[in-house]
Amino acid sequence: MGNLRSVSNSCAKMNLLKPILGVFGTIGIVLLLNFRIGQLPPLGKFLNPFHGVWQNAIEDSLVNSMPQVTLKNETKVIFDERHVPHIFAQNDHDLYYLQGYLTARDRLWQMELQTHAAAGRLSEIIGDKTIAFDLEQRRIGMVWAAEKALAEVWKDSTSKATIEAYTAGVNAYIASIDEKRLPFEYKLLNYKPEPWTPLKCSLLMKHMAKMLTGSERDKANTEALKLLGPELFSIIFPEQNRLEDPIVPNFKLDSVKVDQSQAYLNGGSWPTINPQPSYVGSNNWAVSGKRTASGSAILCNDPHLQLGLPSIWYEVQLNGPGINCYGVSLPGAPGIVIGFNEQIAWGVTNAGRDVKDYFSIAFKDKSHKQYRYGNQWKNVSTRIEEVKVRNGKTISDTVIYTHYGPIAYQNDSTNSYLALRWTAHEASNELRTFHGLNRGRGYSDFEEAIGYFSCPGQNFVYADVDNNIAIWQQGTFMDKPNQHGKFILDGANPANDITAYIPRQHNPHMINPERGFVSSANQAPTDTSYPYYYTGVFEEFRNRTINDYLRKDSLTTVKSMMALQNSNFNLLAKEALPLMMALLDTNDFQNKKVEMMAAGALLDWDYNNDRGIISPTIFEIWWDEFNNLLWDEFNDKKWDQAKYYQYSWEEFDESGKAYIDLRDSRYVYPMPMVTLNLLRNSPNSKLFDHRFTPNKKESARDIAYDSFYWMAMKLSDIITYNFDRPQWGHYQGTRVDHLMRLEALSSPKLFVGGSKYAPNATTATHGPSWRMVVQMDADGPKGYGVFPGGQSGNPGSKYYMHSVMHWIKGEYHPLHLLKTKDLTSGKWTVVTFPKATGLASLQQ
Amino acid sequence: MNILYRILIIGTIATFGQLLLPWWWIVAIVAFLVELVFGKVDKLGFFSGFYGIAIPWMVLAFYIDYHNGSVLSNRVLDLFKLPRFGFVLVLVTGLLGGIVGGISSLAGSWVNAYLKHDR
Repeated sequence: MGNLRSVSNSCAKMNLLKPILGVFGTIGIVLLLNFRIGQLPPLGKFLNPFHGVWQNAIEDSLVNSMPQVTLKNETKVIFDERHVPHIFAQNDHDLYYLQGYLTARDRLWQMELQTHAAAGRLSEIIGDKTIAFDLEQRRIGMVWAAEKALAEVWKDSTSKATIEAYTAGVNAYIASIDEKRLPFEYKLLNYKPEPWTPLKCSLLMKHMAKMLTGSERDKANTEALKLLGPELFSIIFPEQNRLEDPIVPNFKLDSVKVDQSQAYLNGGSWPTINPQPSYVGSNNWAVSGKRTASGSAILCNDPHLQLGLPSIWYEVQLNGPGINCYGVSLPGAPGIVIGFNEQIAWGVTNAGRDVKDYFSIAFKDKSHKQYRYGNQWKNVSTRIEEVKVRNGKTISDTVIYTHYGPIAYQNDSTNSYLALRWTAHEASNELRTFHGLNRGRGYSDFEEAIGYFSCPGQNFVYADVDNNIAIWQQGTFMDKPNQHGKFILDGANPANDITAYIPRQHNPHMINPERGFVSSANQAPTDTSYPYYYTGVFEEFRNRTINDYLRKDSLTTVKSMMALQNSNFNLLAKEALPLMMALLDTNDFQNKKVEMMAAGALLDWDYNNDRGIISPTIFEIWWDEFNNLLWDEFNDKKWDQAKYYQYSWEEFDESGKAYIDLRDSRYVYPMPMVTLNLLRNSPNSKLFDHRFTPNKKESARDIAYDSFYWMAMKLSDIITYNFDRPQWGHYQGTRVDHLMRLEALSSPKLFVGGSKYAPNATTATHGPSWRMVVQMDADGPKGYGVFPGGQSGNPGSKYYMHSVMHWIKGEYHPLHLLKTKDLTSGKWTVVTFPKATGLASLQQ
Repeated sequence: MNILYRILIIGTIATFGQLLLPWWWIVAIVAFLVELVFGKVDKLGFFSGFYGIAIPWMVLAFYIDYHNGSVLSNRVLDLFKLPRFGFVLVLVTGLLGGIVGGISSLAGSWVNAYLKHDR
């Protein structure tokens, strides 16, 4: 009995313990599943099917959100079979309001992330990892530039109204979002969108400007000049070959004289700037009706950008008073960037000209309040930048501004400071260009509209229904003395402080040329007849392939233009490979079996980088190895030939492809044309001599032989370990990555051909981000287009990767430029947004 | 009250609660309260909340997944490095809801038992 009593006593105590344990346990598990742990999303919040990520698998119904829009008139929208909105508005406000609303509905997270990145605010979302990135964005003056641009926008009532309507539309969508309809990534990372602002539209334009103006080589050139001396430097880094098919040949301006004095710094040490490799590029061209089968002009454009998901482009049709336009827009900016209407079509490629100049600044003292300028001291201004870090601290940074621009890079220990002058810092209103182009009715409208475009410099191609074609290199470019901006400049010398701009009418352009076509592929805009000095990174292969094709294609059709956009013809291989092969002697092969096989595959090759063959892989590896051995001048001092092979597998480039980057990060390798010309003209040049073998003098022959041997070693590894990998499509391994690099939300590795030296400039990470072909028929333009992604940014939607497979196959979708009568034809589903009253309070 | 009734009550209230309110964790409160008010000392306190929450979560997740052709669930499985196999994410979802519901209802039943015992 005594025993039982004590048991029941302890039971009473247990009973008190259990409820407490239970309540705390319940609270504990709820808390555990309500917050992020490491990389895991808040699981309870994320997976519950009533509000969590499951809800993103339900195609959003517009009906739910309609009461929250604030329109001046009833507005109708057709969603076509690929979820492209065709907006039919009765006034401009409603048009841009709904463009903002519908773009946000499909792409809100991307819009916010890209503008956060532009503003140096990624750490607010991601945390510690992105602090350095954010600080750099602040130091190069991204927000400062966007604020200046917005002030310029406000001066123009049309642009102001456009941006304000777009912003109101985006915010109407944000206001309509409940827990359920929060986009996927917000749920994954457990945060909420903030209101959209007009500044974000400007930030997006600066984001594009930064992406497309990475062609400065000021610091790399300065370092290379220091290493090589002026004579060798001018051979390896020549003013870029301007004889081979420029955009506008023979563009003369007799009245213009350029200052031939050369002012640059030689010597000193500089803070680190990692040169951006030139991945971005683009093609565009227009063919006059004189050369087409239909007699109508054809315009084509494929901008090559980093391939991403959600896609960088969003298709839309804008129809309203004075506008009926179809094309691709940038989520976050009103209007259509590349497209066509019933009268005109236009497209863009990157100019690739250097529009960033670096000035070395000498401060008076450690307070950094004054700097030397001629024989006086100039005062700085400062701007406090605060980087907020997710779940943590706020980092304050004082950015110093000189009259050139912000001190973007600095090294206090060596007292070196570089101020950045960048045309993106200057007040401009690029969105006005799209406003004008979207409504353009002829050439003069086109020329007027593109005049607003300042940075990034672009090649605008044009075609119209009256059979006119034209091309303009448009942007703000400085009138530079010879070699100005090629090297770091002495900021203390007022002679370097140029202020003049090239007059806009002196920008290279061409209208209805005799040859019947205009084209650009990031090559030099002019030949040597152009008087102004400029520098940059210019393409030397794609442009010639395209122009050769257009010259030969005398009866152009939409089909032949699609074939050209998808051409994998590698002109570098065609020109370099026979020269390299001629240097080989099969008797010297050490790894005979593989080397004979590789040589055979190269001899059989038609120079097309098609996905299913191994020849392009062999050429690519050989070319990389050849350059690594040839340009040992720029390789890291740690380089050791004995360990060469080991190194080669230890380094992987961003795509995960084995790639030996022995390059010292201070330098860039010379352009492929320089290597090619050396092979052609001076196979015994001392440049071929390897600096790590003092007792031996190498020639092109040795470099070719050694690099071929290393290529064969790699190739046999690839074949041994994974048989199908040497096929070009597998080796290249193109991917369309999610913006956060989350593998689960990215495309798988795509089996696709292409080369950066071919019109189809698909590489591991970059490629044609939008292919468009438009035939300007009198009875309405016929447009075709495709991009490697889909209209929706929602990973739960069938429209997320909708067109990736079509893109791989080189297929195009017909683009529907619908008319008002289509609203009543019964062929399309029409969504009607009512004219709303009294709901303005929903605007944030 | 019989366990089946308790499951039904938890399931019904929790479902309506989640349809009307934006907080997922009301499932814990519902399971806790139902077991606190209607609970029996039958040592099944865990199972009322477990099934009461897991079943509606799984039914809704299954319904959504079926109509979506598993586009979303496959991506989420990849994200969690789980195999893309049938309705794995539906099961994981149900299990997760069930565990939260079960722990909450168990806690409710323990508090219930303590209060009844104390009086």
